[in-house]
Amino acid sequence: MTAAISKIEVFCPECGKAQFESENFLSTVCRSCGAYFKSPQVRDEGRRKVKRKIIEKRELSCADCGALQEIALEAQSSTCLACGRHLELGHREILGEHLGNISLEGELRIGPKGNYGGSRARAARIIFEGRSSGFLEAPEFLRVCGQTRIRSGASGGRLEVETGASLECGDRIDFVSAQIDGEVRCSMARFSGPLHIGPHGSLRAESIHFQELTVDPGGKIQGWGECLPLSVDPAT
Amino acid sequence: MNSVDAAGAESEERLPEISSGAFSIWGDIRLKRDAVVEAKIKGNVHAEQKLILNREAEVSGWVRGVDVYVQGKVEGGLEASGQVWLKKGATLRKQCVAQGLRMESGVDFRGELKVGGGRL
Repeated sequence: MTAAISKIEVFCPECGKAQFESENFLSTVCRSCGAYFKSPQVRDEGRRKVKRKIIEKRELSCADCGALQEIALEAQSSTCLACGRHLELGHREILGEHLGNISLEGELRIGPKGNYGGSRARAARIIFEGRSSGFLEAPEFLRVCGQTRIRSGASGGRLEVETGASLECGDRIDFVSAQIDGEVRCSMARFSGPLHIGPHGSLRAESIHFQELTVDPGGKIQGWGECLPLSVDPAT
Repeated sequence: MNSVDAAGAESEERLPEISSGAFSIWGDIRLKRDAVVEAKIKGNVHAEQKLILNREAEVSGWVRGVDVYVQGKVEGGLEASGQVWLKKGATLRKQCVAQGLRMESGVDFRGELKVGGGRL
């Protein structure tokens, strides 16, 4: 014996034609126009609200194209949505020889015996104690702690040379600002903001460009100098 | 002797002034005391003490002194055995030699820079 299945009358949302369906029906097709539609009960009650964990995000700009994207705070890597570049977000330490380019959004430490042999290394913060053949780019800061040498050049936000440390650069250095308490030698030095040479600091370059200069008594600077006009664009 | 603070401000006595907007001085000047210069000088200035070159001051030659505070224009270079202050709006050409230097943004400077004695 079979139990009688009770039917209910439903109306097609497209053509409005009535048809009978089982009272527990989930979805059906209109026998008149062929439109697929769901039971109103399913539509109202079927959706379960899923509580998602709130993920803390931060903004990240691509090292290559500068495109912005939002990433999770704990993310270790990402891919640029505009150019497809792989972005490594962690930190790295070079204690021996390292070949190949580096692009980090974190911190790069080149130890006293570290030798960076690639052509370009970019990290938000670079702590430099060793040697580098390639160009170093540090948008936040480049901190020189030991007796260091860069065969090419360096650029970034702030250059910090600690007391007793030295930086010898084969090419130009280009920073927004600098605090020099050690020794710096290079072919050309450019600072689009303030340059401060402490009492134990020295800077020697063929040409030195700055917007503001302070040399404390005891500090040394030598080279052809130019005070940049106030309206100068740091990128040029 | 009069005293001049780091900002070049005069204190106690009034400093001797070489000032006139109306005429120029032709020839070299030697200043044995602290001095304030406001005139146009077609020549060199040798100050044995502190020297202040005000906004109106223009020196076509070189300036030598101990501590020199510049707001005006120096065409022939500046050599100081002490500290040099170059304020916004100042112009300095050829060279700047000193033991200490403070150059504000907005200074028009192009030339040889040598600060700090001895070998670098």
